[in-house]
Amino acid sequence: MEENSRKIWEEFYNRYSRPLWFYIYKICGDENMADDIFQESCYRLLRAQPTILNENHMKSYLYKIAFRMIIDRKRRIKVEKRAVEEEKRRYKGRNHKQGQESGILFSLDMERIFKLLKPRERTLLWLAYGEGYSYSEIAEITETKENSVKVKLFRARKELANILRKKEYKGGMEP
Amino acid sequence: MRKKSCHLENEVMDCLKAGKLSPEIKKHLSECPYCKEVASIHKWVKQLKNRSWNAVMAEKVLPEPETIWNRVYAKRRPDRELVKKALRPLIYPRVFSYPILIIGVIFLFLSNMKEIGNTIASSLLTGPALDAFSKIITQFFPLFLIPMFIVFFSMLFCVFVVALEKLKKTA
Repeated sequence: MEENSRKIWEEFYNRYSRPLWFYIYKICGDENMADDIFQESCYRLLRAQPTILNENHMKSYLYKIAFRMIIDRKRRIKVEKRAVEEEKRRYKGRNHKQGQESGILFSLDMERIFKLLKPRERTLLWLAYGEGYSYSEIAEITETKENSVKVKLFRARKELANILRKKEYKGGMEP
Repeated sequence: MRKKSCHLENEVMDCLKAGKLSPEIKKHLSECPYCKEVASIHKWVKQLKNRSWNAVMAEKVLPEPETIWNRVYAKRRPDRELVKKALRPLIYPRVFSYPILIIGVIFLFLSNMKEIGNTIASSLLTGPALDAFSKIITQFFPLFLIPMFIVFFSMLFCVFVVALEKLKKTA
């Protein structure tokens, strides 16, 4: 029984761990914090002794735990500045070939723009468009009502569109 | 005033997720500002995700699933066993401390029964009850010291054991 649960956990983890860590990292913007939240989320999921019958439900549950922890920590620590620096270091630290500088700057610009949004707005946009979650799933993760998600996502979209307009952002905006 | 929703939003989102836009949806996108914005933001976030993923996740090493599993379950089982094992020797002193205490007190009274009886009898004849009590205390206090120490330390020991057990239960 335990061996079976362990196998299911391993499969589940191998499938979703990287997207989950990446999601946490994108929302909180700090690698160490992302590591902490990621591990703690996994521990909490396992401690709750869930029966991993419905994989989607478990995925949502894991994202929900992570979301709560991000919001909780975000209230305590302001890491925005550190996050931008971290991103810069990452992009510069990698061995990019010549001629990719413009691409790096472009990516950094996107990161900066994304970090101008509030964590909740980032979460909604990421879950809806980055992860492809439906309104009901996002409502479950963020513990809000579906209608509220629609409204908040609409506002987040507006906010991002306004920022992009202000920055006269040209790349990638046409559908 | 701009639209705040669109009846085709779900269809548009499905097409965007699938990455295939049908001619009808394409036509709709060119006409509906709401869906056009949804599509453009969707594209932007996707682009951000892809670019960032390549930069961040290429070098990122996450813990193995077994490590997470073991940390959760190893913490639960072997630790409990260890606590139980470590506390096993404490069961015997706790069990024996109560009878030792009772036997000690009984022994003390039995061994000094004669003196206690004499003192009480003489005090009652010569002076008031208070004097008798003080005499008893002063005369027999040294005799009480050893059992008092025994009692005190057994009680301390019991408190210690109980506290440890409570800790074990909350762990």
